[in-house]
Amino acid sequence: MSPYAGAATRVETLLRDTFAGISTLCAHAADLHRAALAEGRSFTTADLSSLRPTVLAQLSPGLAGTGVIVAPGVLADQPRWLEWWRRPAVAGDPFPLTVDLDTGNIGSYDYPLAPWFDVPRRTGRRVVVGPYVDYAGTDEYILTFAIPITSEAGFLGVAAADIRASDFERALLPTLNSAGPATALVNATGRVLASNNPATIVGSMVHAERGDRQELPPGEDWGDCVGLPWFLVRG
Amino acid sequence: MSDVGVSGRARHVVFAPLQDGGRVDVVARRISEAIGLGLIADGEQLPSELELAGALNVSTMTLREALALLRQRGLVETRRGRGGGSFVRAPVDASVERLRTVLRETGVHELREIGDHLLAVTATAAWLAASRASADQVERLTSLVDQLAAATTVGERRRADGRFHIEIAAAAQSTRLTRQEIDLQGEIGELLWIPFGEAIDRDERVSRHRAVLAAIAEGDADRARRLTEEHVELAISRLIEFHLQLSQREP
Repeated sequence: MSPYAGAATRVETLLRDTFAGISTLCAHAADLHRAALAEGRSFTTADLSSLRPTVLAQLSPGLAGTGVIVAPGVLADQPRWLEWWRRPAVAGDPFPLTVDLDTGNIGSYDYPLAPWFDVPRRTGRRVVVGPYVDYAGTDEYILTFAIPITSEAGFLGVAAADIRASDFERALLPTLNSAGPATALVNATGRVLASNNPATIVGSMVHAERGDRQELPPGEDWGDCVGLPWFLVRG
Repeated sequence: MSDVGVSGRARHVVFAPLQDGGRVDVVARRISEAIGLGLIADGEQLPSELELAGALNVSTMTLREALALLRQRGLVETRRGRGGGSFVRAPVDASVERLRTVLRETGVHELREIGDHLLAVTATAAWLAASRASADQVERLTSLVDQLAAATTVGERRRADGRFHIEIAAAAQSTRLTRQEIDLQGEIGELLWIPFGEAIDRDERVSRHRAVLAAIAEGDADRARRLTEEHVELAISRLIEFHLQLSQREP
């Protein structure tokens, strides 16, 4: 058995759990929209607020934040809106993301341009992005996992979750044999997500030609996810 | 010829001989900066073409072509005949007036302090980005420079320029440097983009950005840093120059 089977399992589990959580959010949001349509009333921020208990329930300890980001024009009472809750890096209660959504203001949060929104919108596929500096939103160094929310009415927005790059690395490190050869988990663009050696730290770039690569997660299940597969690079 | 409204000291600063004179765009920029900074006010008459050319140490033909450029931009209008001459057309709006006041009142020491900080953050971000930027980040940076090149209003230019530097810090994978770049842009960004009084002219900025971006794309960290340092040092020294011109003029 490969000494890195542990890493493969851990990655697969993390991806499965994270996407399962946002699928729950996605289904609930789509249901709310469907209900509004069926009852002949408009879909508003009040409907999004009723999603809050579900968002908080999905905000597990490993996440930096989770919630729903609505496509422009979907809500009747606000052009742009999100229901997003965050967990502080140190202990503390969940708190909401507060950002300026007014497109007339210079520093406002232009989320339709973000890859975690744009890719699901354009392709209908789920996506994993990062790690990246989320300077416009949370100011943290994170990975974002997102799926499109769609109904008969079309694209409604995305359900997403953030994991801090530091937490992700902490979760993976025990599975990377520290006594073994230099090994790094890198994302699709070559960026290091976790590493057992200081020469290739999280955030640095690893070039394709180096070392021996293994796709993670293995198998067909993740072929539809933009940003996967990742690679375990040894040597 | 009577002294028409430009104070003796300002005239000396505005119309000192150009070092690299002889180029129309340089002459035009010198005069438009003086207008942009408010050193020559709306409605004031410029000295005669002969006088201006003499003061700037350029040929009258160059001076005439520069004035034609400024007329095209709507900064100057020329009336012929008696009482004729070139007059400044630069109605001031409150936001520009505020920027000029801030620039006049921000001391050289403070400008240098902010400049030093900006230098440290921006140049280091470029250095790190050279080894950490991914291909898609380089693409994003390229489109930001294109946006700066295509920008039509001062607001658009300032935002495109600011975003470029912020994205470089993000490409360096550093939340701290990105936060500091955003804060410094907030402190000093608008002073670099006073309409017609821009510290670095847009086209020059675009070509400097492309050079930095090429260094980042090629992974040449030292070159990326050096080019960025030159860029920031130039911007700050121009800002200090403008401040000195403004503070020598009676308010």
